[in-house]
Amino acid sequence: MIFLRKLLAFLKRDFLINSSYRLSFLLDFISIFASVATFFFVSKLFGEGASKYLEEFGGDYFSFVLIGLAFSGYLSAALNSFSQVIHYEQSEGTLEILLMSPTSIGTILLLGAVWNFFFVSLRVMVYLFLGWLIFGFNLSKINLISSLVILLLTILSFSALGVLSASFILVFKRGNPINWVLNGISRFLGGVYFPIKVLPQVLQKISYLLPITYALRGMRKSIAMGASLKEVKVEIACLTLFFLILLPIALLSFKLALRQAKKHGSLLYS
Amino acid sequence: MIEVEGLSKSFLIKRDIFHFFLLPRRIYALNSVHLKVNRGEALALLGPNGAGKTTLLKIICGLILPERGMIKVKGGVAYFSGETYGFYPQLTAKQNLEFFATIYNLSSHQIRERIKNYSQILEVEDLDKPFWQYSTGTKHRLSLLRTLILEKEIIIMDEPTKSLDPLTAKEFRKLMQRLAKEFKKTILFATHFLEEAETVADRIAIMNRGEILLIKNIKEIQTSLKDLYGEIIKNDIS
Repeated sequence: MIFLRKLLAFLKRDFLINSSYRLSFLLDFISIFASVATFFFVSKLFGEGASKYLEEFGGDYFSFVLIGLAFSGYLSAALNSFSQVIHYEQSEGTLEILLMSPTSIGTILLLGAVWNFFFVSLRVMVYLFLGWLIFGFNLSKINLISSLVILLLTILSFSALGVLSASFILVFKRGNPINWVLNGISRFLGGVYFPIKVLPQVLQKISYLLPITYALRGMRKSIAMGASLKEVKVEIACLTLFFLILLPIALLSFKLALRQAKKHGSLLYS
Repeated sequence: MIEVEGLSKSFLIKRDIFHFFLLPRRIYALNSVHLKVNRGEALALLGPNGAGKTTLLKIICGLILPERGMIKVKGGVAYFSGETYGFYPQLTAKQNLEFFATIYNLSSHQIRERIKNYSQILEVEDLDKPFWQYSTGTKHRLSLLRTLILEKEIIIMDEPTKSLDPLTAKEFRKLMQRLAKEFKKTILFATHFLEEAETVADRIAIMNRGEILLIKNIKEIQTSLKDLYGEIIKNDIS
């Protein structure tokens, strides 16, 4: 109950703060439209040419890239949210007050990041809605249960990476190798814009080590092909494995980083 | 009650890019500090910049880890900074207060009651403006209002009147006196203003270079506090 009240308090705070920047809100949604339109016309250019690489996803490049664009937002949100929470509270001078509260730093980070995930989910809906309404994206096959399971595992495994990323921010302040490597490599090798089958064998092998590869493949199969839980069991198993391996590593690094920051007295300064 | 025994803390200061070849420099912020603040007492930490006052306060608050020493704190602690208010500028004062009170596990009923009671005591009337629109003096009061709403026994204040004009600072000191006398709070505050220490504190502790040089009851000071402070700091430097 207390946790729920705190969650609502954070959501209310972040909604009020973010909605005070209305123009940014509007521009964000315009940029989604521009991005969807751009890739719609790029897909027209490809026509049937790319279909042999896209067979397992229904053979349509627009659907492929739309889902990639929409759901890769979760990776950015996970990698940036936790460190953004620390930076934001430091800059507003509220971190001291929050750290002295009976709410643990882990809960503060988690609740502070919820709005970003909520907002990304809203953006995903706008992506899919615009794709469906204006550009003929087919949503009729969607399997809601497998989509939601893949989405949940995606958020969990990406969040573990986000906590790892926040640990680096606590110690190094700026210059976050986890964020830099994962954001760059995942967008390139994770199959956001093109199927990994077009990559050379060596790069394909690297892409299998990234959770985004399984997240996007699972989402595409569930949304565009209507795949059941059984049909996305490999993706579910891989994402679960990523989560189970990454979470303890991330929590341990965060604990050590927090101790280090408190020792150096650097926690309160950005 | 706060009890600190043999507290030491040092920081490693990295060299800038032009002196990367030199080893990091270690500075001692606190050196075997002993201090006791009794329940219901107001103690002022006096000292020049870099004396270690803020480090000591933040260690007591649990925001920085000490290297050596022991800290015993009996009762909940609330922190007040005269430099950063720690409010979200876009939210109204009320929205800010409600948010922090929730994070501190207060129920909705407690939040409503306490905001109403303490805002009357502190004479803060309009809580529905965005925080950035308030004057500096009112921001101080709002920050103090949050401290009161949390109803902690101990209040740690870092330079509470730092950015206030002399008149507003005087008003604010009266509020600090009320906290100590009327609300029986234990107050530990760092300040540069001797007048503030004299009017609010029961005892003063003079710090310099990470050490407490003197702890004295305000009533026992024979000469003026200004002379005593000057003498202590001058002797320490020489």
